[in-house]
Amino acid sequence: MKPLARNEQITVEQVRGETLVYDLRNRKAHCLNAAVSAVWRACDGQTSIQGIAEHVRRELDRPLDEAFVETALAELSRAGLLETGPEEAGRVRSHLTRRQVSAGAAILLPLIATIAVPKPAAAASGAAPNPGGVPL
Amino acid sequence: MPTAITSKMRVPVPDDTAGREPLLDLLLASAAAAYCPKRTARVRALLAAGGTDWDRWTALARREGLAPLVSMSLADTAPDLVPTQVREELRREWFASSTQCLALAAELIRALADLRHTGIAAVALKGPALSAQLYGSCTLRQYDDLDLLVSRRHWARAIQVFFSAGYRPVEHLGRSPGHELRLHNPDTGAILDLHRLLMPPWCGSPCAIEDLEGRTEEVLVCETPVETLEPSELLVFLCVHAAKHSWMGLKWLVDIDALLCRPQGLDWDYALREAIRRHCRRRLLVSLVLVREIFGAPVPDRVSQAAAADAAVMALADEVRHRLPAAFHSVERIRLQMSVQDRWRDRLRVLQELFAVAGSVTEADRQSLPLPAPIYSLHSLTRPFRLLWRYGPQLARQMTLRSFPLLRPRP
Repeated sequence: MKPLARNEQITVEQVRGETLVYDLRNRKAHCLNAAVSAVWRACDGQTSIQGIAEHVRRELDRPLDEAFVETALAELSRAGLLETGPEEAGRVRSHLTRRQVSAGAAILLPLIATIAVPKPAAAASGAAPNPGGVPL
Repeated sequence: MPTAITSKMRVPVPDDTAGREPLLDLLLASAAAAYCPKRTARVRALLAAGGTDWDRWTALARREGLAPLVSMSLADTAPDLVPTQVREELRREWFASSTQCLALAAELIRALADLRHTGIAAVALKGPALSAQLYGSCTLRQYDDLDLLVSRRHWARAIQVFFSAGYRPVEHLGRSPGHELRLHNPDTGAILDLHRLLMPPWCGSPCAIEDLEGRTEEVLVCETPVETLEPSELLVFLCVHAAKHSWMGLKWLVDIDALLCRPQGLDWDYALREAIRRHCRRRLLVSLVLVREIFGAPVPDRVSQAAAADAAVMALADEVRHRLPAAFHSVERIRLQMSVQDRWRDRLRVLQELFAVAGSVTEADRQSLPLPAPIYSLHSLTRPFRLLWRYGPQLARQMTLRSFPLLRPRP
């Protein structure tokens, strides 16, 4: 399996090692922790899970194993951040659960936090602020 | 060619934090540590002193729009000195706020692409671009709308572009401001102010996108290049904008301080020259005195000397500084807006604007006295009484106790 990160209809921002992803399709924002960010960035559709694990180990200098990468992929797939077909996504989701995350990786939980973005309320008035912003 | 004077030229600033409310002191120090690592020690010293009322502190951070910045700052600089519960609460707030920021950033990127597709140049003001420019991420500053400056020549076409993208003008009862149009996208909830002038006409001489030739730069918003004001132009803009809001909202001052703390030098000659040309010198100087005295921001000596030579500037800065973070009430704000103008002509323009707004029925009239649509026009009869009821006592108090001492013309 060579996962591919989604790059359509999303907006990505890196903040202090974490990655924020805004999904324009469902108006949800995801915050990927540093380890999952590294996994997601390594999903180029050409690297195997073993290759991703190696890449992430080097990048983070942490003893993360393939089980962690598979769990991260399952979460990324659940969040809709991988370009996987339905069959493959199903396989990723059922493959592992969080319980299988190694002890070394457990400190990195939660992997992905997700929040739905509420629509901002339209301003009651279209008038520009008066001098001093005095409500008249 | 003007000589670029770097922000390294500075006057020694005394520690003026004595007597300032400790919570405010900690808030400002925490915010400043986010963009100026040299100030980390002060945050740690304040935290180590203990006794912080965290509930009040987080409420203050929230109110001043600084929660995302201090959340990151404290997590980086003093995680061991902040209770876990407070750090978690601040982090939750940052994430909630950042989702909104990301949604608006996505909308900004789409809007700019739409305009570019039709050959319309635009400059992003404030919002995601400012946050990315000053703090390195569009999620570290709170904002709830977008601002875009387009050419007056392309104004009508730009509106068409946004109409095609689903935007509609925000309905309002009062007179329509000529320099900007507020648009709302019902699908995404985004609010976008489309400007054809950098600032409202009552804030000084008009400045259009054509006047900003060579005075813009690209910043990365969500990994996408976005055109915005370059630092020297931004300095004038932020100082005038903070003054426009009567310096209410510490985030405006934090923005100016963050800009002055950037390692790249500012073209102070340009900033001062433009402030004089646009008749907003006093607003520039008051804002700079405030950030110098509140944060110890690196303001060049000759700028400090120019400010010190203007008694009105120093009096205004003193008045504002001693009121922070409390807000000015409405009549005081009007007085302040009059006082910060460079010329009597501009003060008259402020009054003219106020009278024009006061003479137009607004949403507030409709809310205070709901009338059926056929007799809306009666609001124009009830409006003077409503305004008198609301602002009359404040005005009377102001006129009795003080006689506008700050309206002295600039020497």
